[in-house]
Amino acid sequence: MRKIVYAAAFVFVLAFVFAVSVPYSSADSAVTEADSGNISWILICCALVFIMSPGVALFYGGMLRKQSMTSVMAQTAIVMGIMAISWTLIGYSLAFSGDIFGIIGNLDKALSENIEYNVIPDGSTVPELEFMLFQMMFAMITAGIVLGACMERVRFNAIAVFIAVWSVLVYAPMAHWVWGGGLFDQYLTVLDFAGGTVVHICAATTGLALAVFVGQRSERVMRRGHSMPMVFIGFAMLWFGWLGFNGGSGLAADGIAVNAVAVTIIAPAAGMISWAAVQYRYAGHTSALGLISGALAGLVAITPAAGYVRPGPAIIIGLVGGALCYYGVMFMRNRSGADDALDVFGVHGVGAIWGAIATEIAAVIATVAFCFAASYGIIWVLSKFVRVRLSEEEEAIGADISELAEPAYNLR
Amino acid sequence: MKMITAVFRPEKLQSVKDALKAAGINAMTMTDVRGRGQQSGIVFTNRVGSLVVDEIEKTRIDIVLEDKEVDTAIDAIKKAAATGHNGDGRIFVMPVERSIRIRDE
Repeated sequence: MRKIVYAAAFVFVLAFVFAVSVPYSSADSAVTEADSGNISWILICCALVFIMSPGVALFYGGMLRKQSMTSVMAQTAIVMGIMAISWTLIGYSLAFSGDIFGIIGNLDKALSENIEYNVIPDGSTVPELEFMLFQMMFAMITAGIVLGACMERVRFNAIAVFIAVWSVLVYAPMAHWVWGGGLFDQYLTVLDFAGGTVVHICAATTGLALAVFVGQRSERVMRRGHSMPMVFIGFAMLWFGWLGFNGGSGLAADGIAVNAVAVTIIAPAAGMISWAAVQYRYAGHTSALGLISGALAGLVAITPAAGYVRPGPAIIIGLVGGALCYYGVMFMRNRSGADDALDVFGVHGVGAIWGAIATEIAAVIATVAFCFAASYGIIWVLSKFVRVRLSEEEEAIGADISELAEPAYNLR
Repeated sequence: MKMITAVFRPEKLQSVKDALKAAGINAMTMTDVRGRGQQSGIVFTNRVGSLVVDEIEKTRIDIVLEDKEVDTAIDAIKKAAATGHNGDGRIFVMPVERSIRIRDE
């Protein structure tokens, strides 16, 4: 049976490679000059991607015990704030302005000077400020996903400083390499439509580095979610937002956007089904959380390919993504020894790596190595100055009270 | 006939249940409770002051059993619920006058 599964996976991989190797020709999209259609669609996509960050807070919060709900919301909120400001001050410029040896951009657009809001640059479809805003939403959601792996252990102050440093030293270079004319852009053919590499592999690897650094949650903390409805609302916001995440990544209101939105529904639907099937086979039942995880795996897997594949291959990508991520999560939980609290690496890491694997394996390896090493380094240095981990007692009482003096549920 | 009321750490419920089952004791009532012990809560200090948490979550179980089973049950609970730190909880033993099964005619 296992051999059949492996063989099937291999065939799917081949099919995927084939699907990607005959991509949609971008010449088919006629729209090259600015019009109100492009501008309004991308503004809508900004709003859609924005809602993913608070969605992540609810999604993760529901999977933790109730004593940690406020701390998830607070950490997500501060991370959104930090990423937005950091991106405006320096991040965008480092990622997208000029290029220094393929490593990093320059500071010409620091403080968001020289970013026009009513002029459309050559070769673009929207004003640069709108592009910068759209990219900012990606920076925010990426940082939000990182939190999931190390929840319930890392102190608020530590995560705030970490993300501020990380946004400059890890996220901006990654964005530059893949999208901004850096290394990957110059030397590798990265077919990363909507940021599977930058957003998901980077977030997952960073999260893994943090989880490894701070160690497991103490045994005293029960590993049981407290609110499935919360998880479901967060998941709904994520999927909803993802339509803009993929749909806007072509930066135009054109046929590619239509295709991207379509496969953003189709692939997760397939992922849901295959996760359910695999879980049913191994666990004897399926579950709401399983269906949600399967859909997320499909979403993550389709993200790098959303602009290139038609609905048929999208189903295959989703099916394989869902099943693979089930194994990924089981491995992370049972074998790896890292306490990836919310299966960030299992779902986002494995899913995104699968999604990107046919595009360029070298880019995947480089991303994983860089993000892990750099993030681990940052948190290691940081730990010399700030206490990173909650004490056992703080953990037992819950970060809501011990850090924020604000329980999430005190209605009595 | 006695009633044992044990209050202990919520995360120890499963191991307490397992230990009691191994000792042949099955029937019990479980409740989530809040309370404080001898230290009257836990104090957290931050840069501007301190915060006292004096409603700490615990789990309580009530078991009614024959006199001769009491010590077995106490041993099982103590072994399963102890961590050696403050806040491990307490066990109380009380006399029970009657025990009636509702299903019986």
